[in-house]
Amino acid sequence: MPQLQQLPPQIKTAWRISALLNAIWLLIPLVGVILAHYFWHWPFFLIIIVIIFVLVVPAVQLALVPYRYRFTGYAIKPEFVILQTGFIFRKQDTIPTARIQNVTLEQGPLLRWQKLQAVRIVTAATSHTIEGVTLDVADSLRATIVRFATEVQPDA
Amino acid sequence: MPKHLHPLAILAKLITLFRQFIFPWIFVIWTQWQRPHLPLLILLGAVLLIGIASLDYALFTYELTDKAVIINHGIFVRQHEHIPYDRIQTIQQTQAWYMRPFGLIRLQIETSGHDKDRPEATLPVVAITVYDTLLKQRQRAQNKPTTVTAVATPKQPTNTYRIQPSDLNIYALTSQGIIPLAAAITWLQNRLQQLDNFMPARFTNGLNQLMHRSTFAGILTLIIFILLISLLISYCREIIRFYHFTLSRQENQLTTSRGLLSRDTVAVAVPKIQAVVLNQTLLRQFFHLTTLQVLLASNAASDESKRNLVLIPVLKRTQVWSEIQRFTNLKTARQPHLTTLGKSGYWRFIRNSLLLALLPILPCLIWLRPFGYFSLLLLPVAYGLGHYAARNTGFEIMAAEDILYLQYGKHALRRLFIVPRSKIQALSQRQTIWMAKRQLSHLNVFIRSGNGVEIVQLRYLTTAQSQQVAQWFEGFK
Repeated sequence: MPQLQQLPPQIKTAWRISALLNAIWLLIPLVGVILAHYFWHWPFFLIIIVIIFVLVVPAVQLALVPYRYRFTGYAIKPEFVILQTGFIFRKQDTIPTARIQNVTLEQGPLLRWQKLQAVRIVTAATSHTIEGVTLDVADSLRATIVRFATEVQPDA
Repeated sequence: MPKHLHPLAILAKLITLFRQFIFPWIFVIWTQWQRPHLPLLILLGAVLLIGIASLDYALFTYELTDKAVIINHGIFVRQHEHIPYDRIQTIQQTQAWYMRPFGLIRLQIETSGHDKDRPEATLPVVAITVYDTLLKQRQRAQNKPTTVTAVATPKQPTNTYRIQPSDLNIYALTSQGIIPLAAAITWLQNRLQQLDNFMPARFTNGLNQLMHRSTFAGILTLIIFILLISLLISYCREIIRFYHFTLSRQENQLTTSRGLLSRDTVAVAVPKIQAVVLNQTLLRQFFHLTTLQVLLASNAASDESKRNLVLIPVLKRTQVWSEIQRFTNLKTARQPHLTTLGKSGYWRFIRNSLLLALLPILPCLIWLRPFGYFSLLLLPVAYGLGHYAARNTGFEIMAAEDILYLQYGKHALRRLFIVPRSKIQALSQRQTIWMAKRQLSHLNVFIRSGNGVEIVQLRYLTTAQSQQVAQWFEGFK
């Protein structure tokens, strides 16, 4: 088992905010049910169910953030990139650097605010993401991966 | 010097255009029926179509240069495709029946680029010599870096496999095309039974025995009849598809060709093969027959649903390994001794299968009594399928050759993948928090196939087993 590197702690803030933002989307069915109650007299308990849903989903997501953080990590070796994610559904991916076709750095508004960058690694068949690393780490990651990738044969 | 296609291309284009615009045509004729200017409209449409087809022909040129195929086409949006020979993954030629007298073919050229789900380039109607030139050019381009070894090894004789009529027969007979039809029949049968239920009680009571026997006999005859017809249809379809199937290897060039109505030829470079797959349906397993396929980094098969190239449709178990050695670069391929699942893996496969079976069974038991009790028959089937899947899951690492054997059984189909380490794109180990406690783990192996990915998933290995594969893959000893 190789030694994994943890993501920067700022990612926890980004996850928490995004959990709350996701909750906003859940408000849409809530509004829908309330309107349906007033106009078509849908039973009241439906509203309660949706409210519970709106509260529980982000709460669970928020509660899982520390676990998610502890179980997420990555390792960049000369020959391999190893990514690990998930607390309840755990996943560990191994990608040979020689198979990597391209590396994309991505940054949404949340990550930009936290000065982080997501790294997407694409092979001829798959796509993997490191959810967030600091800007200088992202740049050096990209450089490392591209260097190792170009050293070996480029053909699929 | 850019060249045009064969003039027959205009006709071919017309046919496709006509097919594309069939609904507007019908609409126009439908609405303008019995109007005086209908003939004029039809004439106008015909002129328009012929105009488009001719313009398309005039603007389509291709050229085989020293280094690449260049194709220029498009009426409004001009496109210039530039495909270097050494990037070509597969060359496919199809000869429809109407092209045969003229010695013409349709050529499709594929690279491993995967941003669109269609061939990189198509030459709709060209002379057969273009195919030979293209093949030669590609061989030259792809052999260039390894000229030293090419000189060292003496020129290999051409290996050829030709399907025997009896083998083709067996293949077509054991094809499972009848299964969807069988499902339709059982549905029909249920309908008929319901009809029985709707009959008035005294009517059925009176003629009870006679009626029952005769409907039963009638249904049985109907079933057998439909079964025979569907068997015949699927039999003929497979015969037409694989008629005169031949596979030949000349140095690093594999060529398969097949088909009765339209002749389909695919040429592949052996080093571009991503993996070799041995497929066995339950039925063919009984007869010890195997279908050999290869995974490629481009769409090779002309039927969209099956993107993998069939290398040999049907092989007896004893011949499999010698044929793999003959036609691929897996010189040491042999029957693997697979590491298989432990008891807890078996139990989980069977449990999942039984739980899945309960989905249809429970509603049947609640709402469809007494006939719903028949759904309980699904339980032994589910048990069997779960057991089958567990029994056929396994892997073997051939460390010396850097080759991995992976096998799984799913929906009564057994698939054995033989993949060199250099063709594995990525590897993934997955487990839920509950599986972690029991030291179990799924192993996903990603292999490029067509324009997408083939995920070989071995479920419920022990963590130690999947770690063993991962460590081999990572190269730690």
